Amino acid sequence: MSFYINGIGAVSPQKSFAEALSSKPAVHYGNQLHCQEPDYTAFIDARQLRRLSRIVKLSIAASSQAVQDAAPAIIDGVIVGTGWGCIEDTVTFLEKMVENQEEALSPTAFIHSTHNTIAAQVAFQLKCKGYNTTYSHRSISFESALLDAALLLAETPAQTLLVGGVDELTNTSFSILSRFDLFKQPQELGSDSLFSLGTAGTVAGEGSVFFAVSGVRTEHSYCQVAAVQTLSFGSTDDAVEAARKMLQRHGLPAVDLLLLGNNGDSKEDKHYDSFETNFTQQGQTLKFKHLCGEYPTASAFGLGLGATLLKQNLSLGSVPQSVLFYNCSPQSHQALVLLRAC
Amino acid sequence: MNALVTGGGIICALGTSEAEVLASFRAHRSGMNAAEFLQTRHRAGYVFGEVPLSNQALAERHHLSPTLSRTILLSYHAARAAYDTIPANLRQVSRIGFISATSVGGMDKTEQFFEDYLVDKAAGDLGQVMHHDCGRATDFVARELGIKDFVTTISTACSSSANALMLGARMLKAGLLDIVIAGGVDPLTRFTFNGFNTLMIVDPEQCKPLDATREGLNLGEGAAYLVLMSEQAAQALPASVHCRLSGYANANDAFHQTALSDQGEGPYLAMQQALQKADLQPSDIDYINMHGTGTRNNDLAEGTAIRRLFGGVYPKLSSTKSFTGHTLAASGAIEAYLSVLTVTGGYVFPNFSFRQPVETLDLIPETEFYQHATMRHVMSNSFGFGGNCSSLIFSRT
Repeated sequence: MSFYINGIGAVSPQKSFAEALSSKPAVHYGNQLHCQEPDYTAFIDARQLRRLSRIVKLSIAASSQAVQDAAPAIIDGVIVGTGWGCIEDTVTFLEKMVENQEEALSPTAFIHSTHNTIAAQVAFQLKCKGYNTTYSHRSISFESALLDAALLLAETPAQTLLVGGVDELTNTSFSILSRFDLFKQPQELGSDSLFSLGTAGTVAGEGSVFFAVSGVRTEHSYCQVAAVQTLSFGSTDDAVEAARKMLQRHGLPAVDLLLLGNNGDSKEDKHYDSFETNFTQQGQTLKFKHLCGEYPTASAFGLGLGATLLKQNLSLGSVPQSVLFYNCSPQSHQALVLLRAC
Repeated sequence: MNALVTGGGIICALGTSEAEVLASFRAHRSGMNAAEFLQTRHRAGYVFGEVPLSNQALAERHHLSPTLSRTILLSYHAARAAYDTIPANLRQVSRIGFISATSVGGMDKTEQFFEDYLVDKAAGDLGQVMHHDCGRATDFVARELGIKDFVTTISTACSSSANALMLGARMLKAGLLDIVIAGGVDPLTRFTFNGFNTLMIVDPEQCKPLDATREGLNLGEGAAYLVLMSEQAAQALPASVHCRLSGYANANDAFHQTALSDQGEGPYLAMQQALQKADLQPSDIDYINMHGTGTRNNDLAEGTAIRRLFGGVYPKLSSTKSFTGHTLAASGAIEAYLSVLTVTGGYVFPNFSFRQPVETLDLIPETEFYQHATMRHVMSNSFGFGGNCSSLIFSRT
């Protein structure tokens, strides 16, 4: 069930993955990391632009970049993972409905509120009538999309699919999530110090990262996705065991790089630390959520980073040949992805 | 290798079990009534396909908290029934997955939260809004059932649970799981009702799908899940309970966010590719459970696509949404459940009413509920916002 990443596009709190991997990634102050948005007119017709919601713009820009990067003949399908969906349009319609007591509503926000609006609009831009679906399952929304792509490509390798992980951070979502004590105090930090505070809470993030994937390796290929696995309701030990089996199946005694979803929350990071201790003697470790913040599909940003490393060899010393990615939301879901140079 | 359907669970306006649902069809009793539980201010002027149980009653029946979202309560009710059809010894030795689908997650609770939150950003019960995301209900139900080998949620508007069934079949085929409980749920919410109502596609009275005089859809609610098994896992079961999920396809209309193209390109592709997958000809299909929402756009586009694919020779067809209402993300699974009954029990499901065919099409739906011996292959269509179109085919083993 392996396949290749042949193109990547992203709109994220970093200008690019190259910048994110450089010695000077963008540092965000406070507890929210918002996207650095591009000039959308490079991707979207100016007349259309006004009508599109922000999350769709983020996604059309990112998916267009992925298509340009991979330069496939055609796109055969679009699969999106999103934890929160189109939260801005959802809230807009909800607010009006409550405030106006269900009278005099405009349908526009409702029309764009469904989770599948993102994949639909990306397909619409590309006039892609192929497979189209959307996963919304918390921290494994993107990994579910990736697994679906792996299944499709195992059946028909010679096609190119767009797989995206997308979530937006809005004032309302931040205001409500804050009340669950998820985030650090804003005065505490610049995002570069996320892992050194050792306090509770993380920083909120957002992003849209799309991958053009295929069962066929091309001159544009970044790396091979050798395995994708999600675990539900298991322990860190279960993930360690699954990771060991995954490496064994692929004949890898060790990996060169461990890519971890630590988010700076002392309560959560201890799970990553425990995972890491089982693998660290074998290679180096890279964390990424100080670059993109925490959000349900942050793993798409993490994998973009890992894939870029494998292609560009912007190595941390030695050139990595294999990357083991691990992300978790404690007590619910864990995800493992194995990337290999190709 | 085909996925075998060996059981399921259903709850909708027609009843809380298969027996109750069949009894409603037998009595030609539509589930569309005045809303008893949905707290919309428009409730006086409209009919709804509401499940005839309060949250309290649903919760009591399953020893759950009545403060849970209606999404969870409905999902649990149907998924529990489906899970209970799996023999205990098989549960122990099998890798089991739960793939659910919803379009609005716990919106029924979120809209209550917003009443308070909009007055004061520090107000509102977090115990309500914590149910908001789509995965919440899936996780709750999976944990209650003890399923952990694979869990995810699909959200492709009104085609959601058809896609959940499709993913389940594909995971079995790939050998990743032995058994999958797949389907979907959506509760009635003010959010979805007002959304569809502002689009002016809600018929305040009993809807009339596939009729020239149709004026829109009725919203409904419910949940349904099918138990899908690999052939190997199903070996221990008596063959009589089986049918096959023999074909499935997903295509996109790539035309408009909320309307289908005139020629029904997405529906056509979904149906055509599902036939291809099942290695069947259009003439092999004995009955189509249409998406048939009752909106002017859907029924014309779907009908046109059927005419293109089937030539002038139509199989039996109907829209059971005229009985259940449009249950959104649950509709694909509810209609798949009914389609399985058609294959295994020979039940032909009718339209609630029918007077004259959709303009330019001569599609004549079934109007009586009856049993017919030779129903070998049944097609079930589900289309949604965003051009998402899916088609499933169930076949005799």
